[in-house]
Amino acid sequence: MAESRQSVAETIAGILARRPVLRPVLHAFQPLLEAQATLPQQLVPLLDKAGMHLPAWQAERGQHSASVLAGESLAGLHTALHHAATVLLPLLQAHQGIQAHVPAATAFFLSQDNKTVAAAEALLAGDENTLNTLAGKAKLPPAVLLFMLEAILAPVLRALVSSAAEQPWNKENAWHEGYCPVCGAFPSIAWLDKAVFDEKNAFLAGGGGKKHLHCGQCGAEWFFRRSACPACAEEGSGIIELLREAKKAQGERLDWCTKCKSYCPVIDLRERAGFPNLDTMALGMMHLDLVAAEKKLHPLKAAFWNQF
Amino acid sequence: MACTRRGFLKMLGAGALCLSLSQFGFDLKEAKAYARSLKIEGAKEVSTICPFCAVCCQVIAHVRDGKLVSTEGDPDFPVNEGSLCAKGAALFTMYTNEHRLTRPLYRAPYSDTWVEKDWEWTLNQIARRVKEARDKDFILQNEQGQTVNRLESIFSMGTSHASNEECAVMHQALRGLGVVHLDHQARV
Repeated sequence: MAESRQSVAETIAGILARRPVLRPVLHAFQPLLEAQATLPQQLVPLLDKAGMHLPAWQAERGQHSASVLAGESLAGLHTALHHAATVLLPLLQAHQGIQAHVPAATAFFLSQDNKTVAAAEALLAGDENTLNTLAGKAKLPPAVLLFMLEAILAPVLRALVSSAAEQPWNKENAWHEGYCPVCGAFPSIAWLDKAVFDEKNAFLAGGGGKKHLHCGQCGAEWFFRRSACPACAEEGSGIIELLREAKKAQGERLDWCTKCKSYCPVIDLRERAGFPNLDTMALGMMHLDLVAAEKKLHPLKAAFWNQF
Repeated sequence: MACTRRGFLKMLGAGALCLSLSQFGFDLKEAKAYARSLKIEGAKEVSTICPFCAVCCQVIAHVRDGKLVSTEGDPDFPVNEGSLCAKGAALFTMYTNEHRLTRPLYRAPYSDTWVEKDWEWTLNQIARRVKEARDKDFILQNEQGQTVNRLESIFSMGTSHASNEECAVMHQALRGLGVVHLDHQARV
């Protein structure tokens, strides 16, 4: 029984009611977040037309920790990537730090020679050298290329994931890894689910609290063990510690690994009303990223809001 | 493949290829001051097992500075999937309830007052009374003349707070005395 999720605007309003200090950042990125949230619906027909669907889940690959898109050609995403770039480039270029790279970025992402596809394939394959080479040829700083590439690729991959009828990676322990079963990225945020009242066992209390990792890149969500670290895979009692605001957390916390010192923001839905937009929430919890940085912890998934 | 993937992801996680808000022109002075003003608390998540019955539901205990601060059912444990019965859900109070006894209390026959006693006195009393009861009431044979070596005047009420090993030792001791009436608190 899936609970409907709040829009980007609703989530931002909720965050600002508690943390008005984040207004400049949230308002600056609201148009981009909203466009990314609505684009996948527009992109699904383009993917259908190109005959591009999420490859079928293969249990054996899953058992060998291979993500669905690992080693797959993304050539069929070209049209969708082009459309996403057309919509998102004006929003991306509005930001200081990107403006100086507008001509180079436009030439790169709107070219017809599949450069974006090559960069997307390099990103999913973990091919840093190719990314640097492409950035060099495009006369773009690698960090700028990566930021824009992730922003443009995300709605396309989400369209691909949304077209899949089910989430086979969540069935019968099909996937055990802390990185995404679809695109292989580390999660940007996690959430703990609410308790479900079971009439047959009405005397039981609690329930819920199962951890779902959310991929900020392709939008896939998958179960993960509470006692394990998604980054280093260390598992056991006392491995994971949490950090939260005393008495005012409203379910917002960071889970960090005592072994590798990586952390992931977590929303505990048992402690709050509504289901926020998770990508917006990841940005809206940057006050905890600042706390983590003070403690020399490092984020599981680097993003512009958690680098200081 | 997993190693390569993790290595790459960690590189990204380290921010080697990542822009920051200051590169977007944001001044984070206020946000940093806000973050520093927050009262932050932490807790370690430790797995344990509910002690109340043989179902052995798994529990996540939140521990801060060596002290238990809360408990919840473990959602990843297949038996309880995060749920707990009323007793398990109240597990936290077993450690924190002010009414929990921490020292032996003794109420003498016909008295209406509890008196705090030390453990040595208490254990000696228990040993002496068990021996007296056994010497007085031990049944060697039943009415048919069959050897039974039975003691019916002592009843043992076990506790689900005891581990398997502790239960085994208690069981052996009570059977050694001839005690036949044993039950367990989780059943009542």
